[in-house]
Amino acid sequence: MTSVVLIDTVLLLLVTVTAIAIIEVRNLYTSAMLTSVYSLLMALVWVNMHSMDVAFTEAAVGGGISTILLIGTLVHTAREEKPLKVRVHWKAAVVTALTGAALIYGTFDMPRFGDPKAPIHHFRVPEMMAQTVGFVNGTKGKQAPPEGFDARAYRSFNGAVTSVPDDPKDTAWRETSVLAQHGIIVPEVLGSHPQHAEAGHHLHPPDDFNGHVPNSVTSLLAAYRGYDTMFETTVIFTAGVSLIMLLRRPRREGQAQKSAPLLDQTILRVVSKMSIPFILLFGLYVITHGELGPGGGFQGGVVIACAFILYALIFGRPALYRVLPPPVIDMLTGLGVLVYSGTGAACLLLGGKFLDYSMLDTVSPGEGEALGMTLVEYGVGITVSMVMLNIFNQLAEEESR
Amino acid sequence: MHWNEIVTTVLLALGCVVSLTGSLGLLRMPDFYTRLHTSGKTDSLGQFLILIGLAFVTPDVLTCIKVVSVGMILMIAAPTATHAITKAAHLHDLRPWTRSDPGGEP
Amino acid sequence: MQWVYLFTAIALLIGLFIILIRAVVGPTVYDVILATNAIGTKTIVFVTLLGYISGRPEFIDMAIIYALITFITTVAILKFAEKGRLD
Repeated sequence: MTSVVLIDTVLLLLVTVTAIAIIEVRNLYTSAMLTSVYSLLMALVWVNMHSMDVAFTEAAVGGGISTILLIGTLVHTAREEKPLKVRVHWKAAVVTALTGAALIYGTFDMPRFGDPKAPIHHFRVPEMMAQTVGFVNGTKGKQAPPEGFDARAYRSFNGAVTSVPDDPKDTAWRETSVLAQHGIIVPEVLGSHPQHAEAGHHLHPPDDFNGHVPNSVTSLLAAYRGYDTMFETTVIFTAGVSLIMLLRRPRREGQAQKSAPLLDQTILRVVSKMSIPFILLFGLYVITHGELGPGGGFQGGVVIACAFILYALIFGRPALYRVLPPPVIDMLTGLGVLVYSGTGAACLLLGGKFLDYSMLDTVSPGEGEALGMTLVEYGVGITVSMVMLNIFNQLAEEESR
Repeated sequence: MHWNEIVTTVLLALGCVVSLTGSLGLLRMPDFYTRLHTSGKTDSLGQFLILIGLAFVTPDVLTCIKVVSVGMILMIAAPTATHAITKAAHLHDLRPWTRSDPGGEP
Repeated sequence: MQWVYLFTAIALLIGLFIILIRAVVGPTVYDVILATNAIGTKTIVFVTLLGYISGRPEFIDMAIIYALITFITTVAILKFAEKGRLD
């Protein structure tokens, strides 16, 4: 049993205990807190599996903002769950048990955890990477392929892209790689990008935007699945707009904004006041750094929203409204989506396809890709943070019940 | 073993002992204030010891700075949170435990 | 060194489990808040440790976000416990 599997087993046990406790606990308040614990533990599971971006999202969204929003809903409801008369519904129990058994049976066919021979490593991921990545498809606007690269052979090649070395530091795989054996890439091409081998990105096909976007998750989300991410942002935008339509009441003239700031907690107030600029800075770092490491627009946006929420918690919502008036929040919500689609439209106007970022920099397409992705991440970040802030504001508003 | 690995091992072992003690205290102590007494301090110290221990074996400077800064954030945030919880509990008239009075809900 | 990391990880997991019991049992709201906060700090160290176990210390970015988010969540929970509202 390796350490990864050992830790994974114990963590999953803890997660199960927490999940059962969430169901069993009568007090909704405790239940909300246990949900936050659940998210933190689940994020640990993702970290253990090396899926850093998922862990980032789970920690920021699950552990942070959704707990705050759950607490926000508790403002409007009772704190105790009504006791239910437990009555076993036999038909439903049988159906649930059968579905569960079928799902468990289905997992037997899945590839083992971390199996290098899993289909995903051989078909989908190389294909996605190949469509977006630098010189691989060698079409107009992309960087010319280097000497010895056969694009046609690469596209028609449907087998394993790389053989996975046991030791990450092992570089002998380049010579023995299946691609090299098929004459599709020459080993020297891979050898010329040592930063990938160091960062653990050597398993990818030849190049990640020529080293400009080493985080493959970001390059997939922002480039290959650019449309999906754009419409996900639009979904969040729509959610924010519908929440405003459902919950926001026009404020009567002369009615003072009620609030209960936490000003009597001196130490808490001072520490929060000091830490808010750093939290904002870290949020911007997460958004900007999304193409290099884990993180991106969604996570960074949530962190920024959390900083503003902290300000509102300590100093009261009127103080937040002096910093960010509601009309500005509403405007910024739309601006994020505009930045995203505007980047796409700019690529269109420059002669490329929609969201074909390499058009943004004619001299070095790789730089253009990086620039486009940063812009897009900022768009996502602005929309997400402002929608989260809007949801918080609407939930905290006590008059709306 | 290199000298920095020995330092790390000692610090990690110390951190483990301190943090496990705190966890046990959180479970075993009779009321909120005594639990806070064990968990509040050990949470900061044990975690800080482990992080500083890890900083000794960090290969590059940037990551080392990040590890130390996480330790610093913990050293500021965890006591602040503990203090705020205590103050809230005290303001809500949560009675401390004594031999004659078991304490409990305000 | 792997063994040292692994033993630390197991010690932290045992600690997590013990605190989790306290978080579920209660009995007062403040106990649950305290336990949640303690789980948060333990998690931060655990993420850092996982980075060292797998030889990728750059996981530390995660730990920073955890530290900040845990603090903000604790403040929000506390505010609701103290004032009964969030604004």
